[in-house]
Amino acid sequence: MINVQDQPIEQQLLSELETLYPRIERSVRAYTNGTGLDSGDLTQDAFLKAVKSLNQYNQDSSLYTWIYRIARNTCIDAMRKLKTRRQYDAPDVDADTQTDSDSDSYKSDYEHREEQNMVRRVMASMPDDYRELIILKDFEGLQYNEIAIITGLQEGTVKSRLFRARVMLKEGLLKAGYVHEP
Amino acid sequence: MNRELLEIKMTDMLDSGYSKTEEAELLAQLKDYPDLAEMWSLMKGGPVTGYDSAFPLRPAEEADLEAIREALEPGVTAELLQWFPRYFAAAALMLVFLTGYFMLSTPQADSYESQVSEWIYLYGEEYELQNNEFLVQELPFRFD
Repeated sequence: MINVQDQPIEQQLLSELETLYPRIERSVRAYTNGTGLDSGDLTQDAFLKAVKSLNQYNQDSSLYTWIYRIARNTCIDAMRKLKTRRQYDAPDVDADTQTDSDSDSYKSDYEHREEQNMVRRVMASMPDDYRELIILKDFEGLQYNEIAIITGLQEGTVKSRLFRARVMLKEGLLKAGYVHEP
Repeated sequence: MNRELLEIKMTDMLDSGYSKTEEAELLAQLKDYPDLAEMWSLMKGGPVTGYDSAFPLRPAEEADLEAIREALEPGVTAELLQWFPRYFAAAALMLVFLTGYFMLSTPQADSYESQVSEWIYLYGEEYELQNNEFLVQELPFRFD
């Protein structure tokens, strides 16, 4: 059986592309949430940059980690260019999660969408470096050493900042009226 | 134990679980940090959920994936475009080197033309000279 790690890097990326792309796109969407930037364009840009510099990938980290770093820099550049102030302007109804609402399910759908908007609003109001830790650990489930590689922080610093980020997110959601259901 | 170490400890406990004894030990350490104790009581209620519905995974557009696949597998034209400039640069460098070598190896700057003529006509002239000498030797008389 051929190990994926033993394949040429081009083949490895080709075989993982369909699973990697949506994950990176979601992370980019969460990272640039509220800026008005197009996560699809940024993700595409990041992947094309990654393809151009594939010879620089030394396989010390996972492909996700490596491409995420490129995507992160792409986002930072785009956000810098935009010189945007993070003012969340979420639509009332999100096209991604819109469902056919009949009269019975209308209320629960509405509440569900409100909760989603709340999470997005609070995430958007967080500092970039705190929001990023939530994305990498709680969305993507990366290991602390991988997060340390991406952010350039010590593992201990990642953990202490993540604690503050989680507290910030939870406090924001509670203030916004989010009811946590364990 | 300072604030940062306590934050690290709380993160570890929230990630991997903890016993009542461990929590009692933590609460004792948090006595000097009432704000951290308050954060702990907030966080131990459970993590925030709902990320997946707030930021759902979207299937990638086939056109986007195709563009990346094409970039990963460049065609012949792309390969030529990539390699041609390198070969062209190598050929240009070789030409410059050979020209430089020729100019430096020739003793006098005004004798390039005669040098080239010498190289080109050398064989013909020698042949002609040898031929003439042969004729002269063979003939019983001389033309002066």
